Amino acid sequence: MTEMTAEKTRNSEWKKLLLLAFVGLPIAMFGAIATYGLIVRLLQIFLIGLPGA
Amino acid sequence: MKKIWIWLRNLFCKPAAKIGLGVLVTVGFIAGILAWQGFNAGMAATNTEEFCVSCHTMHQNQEELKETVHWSNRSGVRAQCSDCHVPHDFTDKMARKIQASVEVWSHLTGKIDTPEKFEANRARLAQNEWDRFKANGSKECRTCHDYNSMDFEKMRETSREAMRGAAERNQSCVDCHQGIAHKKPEKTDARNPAFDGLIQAAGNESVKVGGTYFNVYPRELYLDEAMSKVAGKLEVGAPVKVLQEKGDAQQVEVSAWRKSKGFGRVWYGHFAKNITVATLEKAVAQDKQLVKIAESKEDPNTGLIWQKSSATFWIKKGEVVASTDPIWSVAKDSYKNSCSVCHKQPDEAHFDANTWPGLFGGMVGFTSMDKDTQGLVLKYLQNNSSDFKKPSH
Ligand code: HEC
Ligand code: HEC
Ligand code: HEC
Ligand code: HEC
Ligand code: HEC
Repeated sequence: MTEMTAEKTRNSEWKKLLLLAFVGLPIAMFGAIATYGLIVRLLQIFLIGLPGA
Repeated sequence: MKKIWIWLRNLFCKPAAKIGLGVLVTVGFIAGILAWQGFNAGMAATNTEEFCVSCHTMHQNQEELKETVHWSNRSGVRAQCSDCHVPHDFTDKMARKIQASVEVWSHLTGKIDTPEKFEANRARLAQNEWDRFKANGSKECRTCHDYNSMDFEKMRETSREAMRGAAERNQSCVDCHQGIAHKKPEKTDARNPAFDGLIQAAGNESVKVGGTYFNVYPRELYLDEAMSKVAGKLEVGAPVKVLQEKGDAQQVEVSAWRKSKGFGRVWYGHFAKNITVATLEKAVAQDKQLVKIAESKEDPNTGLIWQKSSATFWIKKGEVVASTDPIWSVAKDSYKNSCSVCHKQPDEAHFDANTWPGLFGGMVGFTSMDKDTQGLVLKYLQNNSSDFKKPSH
């Protein structure tokens, strides 16, 4: 491996790390919680009954 | 498509060659903290009052809240929208947020985007909230109010008995405290569904000419067979004698008592008892051709002369039944449900027919009965009062 490609790899790895940590992770978290909420809501609507119904 | 897939696979599965594991974990850890913080901040932001009232549909509710003790009081504790409306534990809260997304959707798509539409839907939305509070025992209220910490002695006298009983039963606050934060929606145009059952029963009744029947729903009396000239209003539970049937109409004879004083517009079911059976138009009540007077009697208690009168009218066919039993059973259910909330409902025969209207009028404001049901329950109480029955204790 030459110096050049090693430098390139390091750069691209940092970029990926930051992308995952500050873009991917929040999206995944939000998505997971939203899905969880949606599933509970759908369960409430179709199976366990609305809070109040 | 395939490229993206390979890129993603490399992103996740190819080990990092140049960045230390410790750095990776640390960065991930920090990112996690920040993300969770950000998420909670977002949750909090969407729980603020500013956010809720950013929809003008919600604005009206805030204006009304400003009038109440929950907005400003001597203790300086202010209840926010979310204190009462957004569940406090995680799962319920997330589910509520998803439901809120539906609200946002219906706002954006214009289902309920003007104050007028909001008012029109208000009874339904309030009912949703009442149901929710009923099901969770008014959990949100109790994060601030707790039966165990209440000093009943310090309450107003009118609150004490009701609140003691409520605490004993651990009852849901909103059973009794409706409309504490906003204007309570008018319930007048929503017909009590129990009437539908009665009207159905009346539709199946095979009416015999000459028989006496009872009206199941308050409605118009007419002078003519075509039912175009209104003569007055026939009350629920009023007895009528069916004279003949023609098409959609029925000719009936109404006989009742009225006071000789005044125009004689209001007709009562029994001598000297204020149980209304019909209210006539002024001109109709004065019509000597129509109204026949059979006898006159003086009420010794008031010195007023009461006249036994009768007249014939037309009514719409299919709204009478042969016995008052189904009518009173609907009334009894409403009475039991609505009037046992704060105290055991009083025995019907504990008061007489002329005392009930005052007592009932003073109490009915505490309940959510609509106008027709109020009329029905009052008639029931009067007709089963001590004038007609012995008290059961
Ligand atoms: C995007 C505009 C918007 C925002 C922001 C909003 N709402 Fe609503 N809300 C609506 C609409 C529209 C409805 C009627 C939904 C429907 O048709 O069922 C509604 C209905 C409600 C209801 C009746 C609930 C029910 O069960 O039907 C309550 C309570 C409520 N909102 C409280 C809140 C609170 C508390 C907040 C702040 C956390 C909030 N809303 C924020 C638009 C909004
Ligand atoms: C954020 C906390 C909080 C929440 C949530 C809350 N309250 Fe209150 N409530 C208060 C405070 C503070 C007062 C006023 C105390 C005072 O008089 O200083 C009050 C007063 C009241 C009163 C007395 C009104 C009067 O005329 O004296 C009633 C009734 C009441 N609340 C019912 C409810 C009900 C029902 C709920 C649930 C829908 C609820 N509260 C939710 C804090 C709260
Ligand atoms: C059985 C019906 C009932 C239930 C259930 C009930 N209340 Fe009450 N409460 C009343 C009545 C009636 C009053 C008197 C209202 C009035 O005088 O305007 C009252 C008065 C109050 C007052 C004012 C006390 C004062 O200073 O005079 C507060 C605060 C209150 N209720 C809070 C609550 C809370 C919180 C809950 C639920 C944990 C609750 N109530 C449940 C019937 C009830
Ligand atoms: C003290 C508790 C409390 C607070 C604070 C409160 N609400 Fe309510 N809200 C209720 C109750 C109880 C109902 C059920 C209807 C009723 O009894 O009036 C309700 C009903 C509603 C409804 C259904 C339609 C209606 O008007 O009846 C909407 C929408 C609503 N609230 C929005 C809001 C908004 C927006 C805020 C903040 C500005 C807010 N609420 C603050 C207790 C509260
Ligand atoms: C919100 C609670 C509440 C509801 C609902 C309620 N009441 Fe009451 N009622 C009370 C309280 C509190 C008293 C005692 C007040 C007083 O003595 O001034 C009372 C007293 C009475 C009395 C007087 C008892 C007597 O011996 O003088 C009668 C009769 C009565 N209620 C009938 C009814 C009827 C009928 C209904 C249904 C339409 C009803 N109540 C619904 C709270 C309620």
